[in-house]
Amino acid sequence: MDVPWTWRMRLTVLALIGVWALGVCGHRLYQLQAVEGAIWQRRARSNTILSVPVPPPRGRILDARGRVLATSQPGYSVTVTPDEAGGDMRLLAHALRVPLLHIQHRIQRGARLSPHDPTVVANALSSVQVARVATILPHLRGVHLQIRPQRRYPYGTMLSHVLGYVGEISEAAYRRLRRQGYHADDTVGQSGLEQQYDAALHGRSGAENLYVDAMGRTVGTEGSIDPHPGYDIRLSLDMDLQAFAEQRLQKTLDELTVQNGETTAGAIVMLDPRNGRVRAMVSRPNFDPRQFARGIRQKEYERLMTDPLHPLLSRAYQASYPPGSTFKPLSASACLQSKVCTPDSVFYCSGEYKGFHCFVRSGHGSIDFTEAIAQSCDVTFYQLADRLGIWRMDKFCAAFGLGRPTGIDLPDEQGGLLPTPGWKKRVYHDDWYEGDTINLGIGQGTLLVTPLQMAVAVSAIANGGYVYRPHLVDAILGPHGRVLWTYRAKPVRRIPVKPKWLAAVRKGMEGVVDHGTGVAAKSTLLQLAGKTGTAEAVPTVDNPQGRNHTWFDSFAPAPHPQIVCIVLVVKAGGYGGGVCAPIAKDCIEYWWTHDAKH
Amino acid sequence: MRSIDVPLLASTLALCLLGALVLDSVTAHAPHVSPEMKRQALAMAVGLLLALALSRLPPSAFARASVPLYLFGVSGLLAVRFIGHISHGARRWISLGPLGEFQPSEPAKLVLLIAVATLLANGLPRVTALRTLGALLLAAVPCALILTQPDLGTAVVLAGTTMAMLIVSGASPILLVALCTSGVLAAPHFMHSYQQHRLTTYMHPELDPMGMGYNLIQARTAVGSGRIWGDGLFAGPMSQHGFVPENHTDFIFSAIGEELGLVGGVGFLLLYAILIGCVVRTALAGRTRLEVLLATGVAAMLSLHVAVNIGMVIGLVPATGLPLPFTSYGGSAVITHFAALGVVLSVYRSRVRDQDAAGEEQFCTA
Repeated sequence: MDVPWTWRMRLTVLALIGVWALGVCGHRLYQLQAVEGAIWQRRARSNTILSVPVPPPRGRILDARGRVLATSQPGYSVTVTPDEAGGDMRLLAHALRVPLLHIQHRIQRGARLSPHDPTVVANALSSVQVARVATILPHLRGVHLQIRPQRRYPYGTMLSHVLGYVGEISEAAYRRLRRQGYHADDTVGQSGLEQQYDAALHGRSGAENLYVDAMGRTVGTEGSIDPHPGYDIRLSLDMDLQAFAEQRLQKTLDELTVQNGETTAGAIVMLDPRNGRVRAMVSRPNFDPRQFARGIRQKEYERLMTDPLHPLLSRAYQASYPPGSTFKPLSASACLQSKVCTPDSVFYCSGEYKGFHCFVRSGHGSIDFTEAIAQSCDVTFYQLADRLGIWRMDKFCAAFGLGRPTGIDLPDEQGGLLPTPGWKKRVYHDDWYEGDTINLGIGQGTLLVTPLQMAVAVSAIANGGYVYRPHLVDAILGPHGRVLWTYRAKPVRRIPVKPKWLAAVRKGMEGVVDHGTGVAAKSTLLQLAGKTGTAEAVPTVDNPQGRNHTWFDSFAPAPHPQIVCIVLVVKAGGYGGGVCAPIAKDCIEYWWTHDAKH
Repeated sequence: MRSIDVPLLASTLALCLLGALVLDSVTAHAPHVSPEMKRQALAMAVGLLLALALSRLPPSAFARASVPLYLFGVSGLLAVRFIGHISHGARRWISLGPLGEFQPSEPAKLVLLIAVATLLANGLPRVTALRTLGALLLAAVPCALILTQPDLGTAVVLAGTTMAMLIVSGASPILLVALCTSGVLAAPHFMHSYQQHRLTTYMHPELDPMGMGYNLIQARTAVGSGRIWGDGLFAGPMSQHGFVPENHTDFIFSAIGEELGLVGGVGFLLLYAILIGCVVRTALAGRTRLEVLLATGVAAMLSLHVAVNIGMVIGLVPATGLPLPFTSYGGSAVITHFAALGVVLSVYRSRVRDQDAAGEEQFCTA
């Protein structure tokens, strides 16, 4: 035996060291897998499972007869997950035919807001774009073609100011709303009803759990949460009447463009005076919400923003103008209630009062209360305002709702301007003079109202003194048309004028159409009542010719009013009775023959 | 049947079978058997036949062939310097045309082991300082060539195997300690920066999450996520979708951990313990110093592979590229490890033959 025993001893020691090493490995395995296993498993799952938000289909907007005004339909989008983005993005830019800078901006935005979630780079792809993107997808990482709901407006530019438009959530809004389940690339309402009712229309995102490999490619799915579609909203307005009113106003505006050599703006508001429901709401010029739905291009947006006519601004509720003589029924109501005059009072118009002229320079001569409204005698209303005084005037105007928003269910409503001595002191550091009151009596001066405010005030005169909050949405509908909520109209307040005084004012307004300044609105179908208005404008940069703003307020049928129609044409240059009265007459006749429930 | 070490072969074949299953699990994409698995099975068959063939030779045959074998091994390493091709940042492979790739550093481990065993077994039982230096010189040449490939892991195995044989054969402990220390101190000067980097990231993998640390973190995560029973073969999310790079070669233990869990991982450890235990048993029973040293070398080589590879995957030792014997994908390694078992089987068989011969002798005298 030539192997010494020491060799075997040393070999045994080495073998024991080996056993110890295996034991250490075994212990470490136990530590990793049995003790800390749950932690490592969670980490492994977050590595391999990607939760992709699935945007919900946005609720529809329907008109009173259930016609679809806004809906969502699936379209292709390209999304990039900033965390995983890899490869040459120039390929993507070329496939989409958009500037590389645009794609980089989109990815940077996504990286700032939520780098793990896909962010939309391009929406509403054409089939050619889809095909081109599909061919380059294998060369890029973190880029996906996704089917996402896209907003569609079947009526195009019609009703655009009321519907508003949708767009990607702004960074500030996202930071505010992320806890309510909004995602960085969510589409939200940016104006109009889309904005006002976003909480109902938006719905709740679902999620799809994707198994991804180390390259970020999807290799399978692992359960998903279905998105919760947004609710539908149904409006009180009828698209037939709306369409007619839009075309009717456009026709007049087109004629004025030829006549004045200048395009101008206008608005129509039609309300049901019995409950404040909006029947039609038109504003021109308008815009195309479809541009916003697919992601508006920089150039298109700049064009909208630099247009001197501000197409994004609704003339119906976001812009205010001097009401001119359409203010007279309001001040007449105030005077009757304040015992400044009676319906039987007789006035004398010489054509001039304390330096202020009547629009009929020769004067109306002796004129009674009803005729003063019908003929829109300025001198009568100078006298009445002078006797009434600014304090009482302001009190009644405020009751009619002037000087503050009506509270319609639309965002960014303007409240107009109701001048008071305090306001003048504050803004102009000047005292309120007698002349200011006299001028205010015929709706001139610094008083500014929106057509919507006028509609609410005229409704109050028409319905016997009740002020309603104008309302567009009648009902919110859940899945399968289940009604979740309906609007119940109730008066906000009552104006402090006795019904008999309002009846006297209405009689004057009937006279306007019957034989006064608004005979152009006289209809053979039903009896209209109204009031013309021609607000004189001082020449300004915007309006170098100093063209008049023209109004016509009306309601019908005169004995039991069911509709109020306010027509405004900005810088029309003519008279309310000439420009606006025929529009109101046509709209009300259309409503009477197509819409009214006799 | 007495001439064959049954537990050794059984544990080896069990490792091969399980290893091939795990390999198929991480490489196959469809219900089909992956090409890697097919090539691995072929290498295993070749290796098994080679082991059985080598077991028929007497251990002295290896001693006689040690010089040409050693020269063959070193020339292979030299050849790879000139005609080898680069992959993963290292020049380790020689292309054999349709036969695939050949990694000369794998057989170099075995031929060095045989050469050192032959040197230390000759002459007097006492191992002099001169012979210690001779053995280290024998190891130094392939070590240096492999370090420059660069391949730190294989060089560590070569040095460790030589060291184990020197310790068993009774080389001066003072000399060994002195040489070890100088080697450790000199090592950083020969190391590539990426190797130094690997050593530091082993300490703090989270400092370098996208580089080498990525591999370590991912491997550790995969192993831990397997928990007790594992996700099942073909079902580990990280192993299946490429979250652990190289998990069919050096990091295959991460797939074992994730898909087979603690049960599978400890099972593999036990199988390796049985295999190495059999080799150690053969070494302890060796009749000559050559037999003892040959079996000791193989035991050391296998132990180092297993400990360093698994230790790397579970974060106990620095990341160095070493295959897990009989499990990792790689034909050169599989065939070399089978050949090493062939040497051990030859030792086992010679012991049995000696006993038989002794028995016959007794019978004759009687």
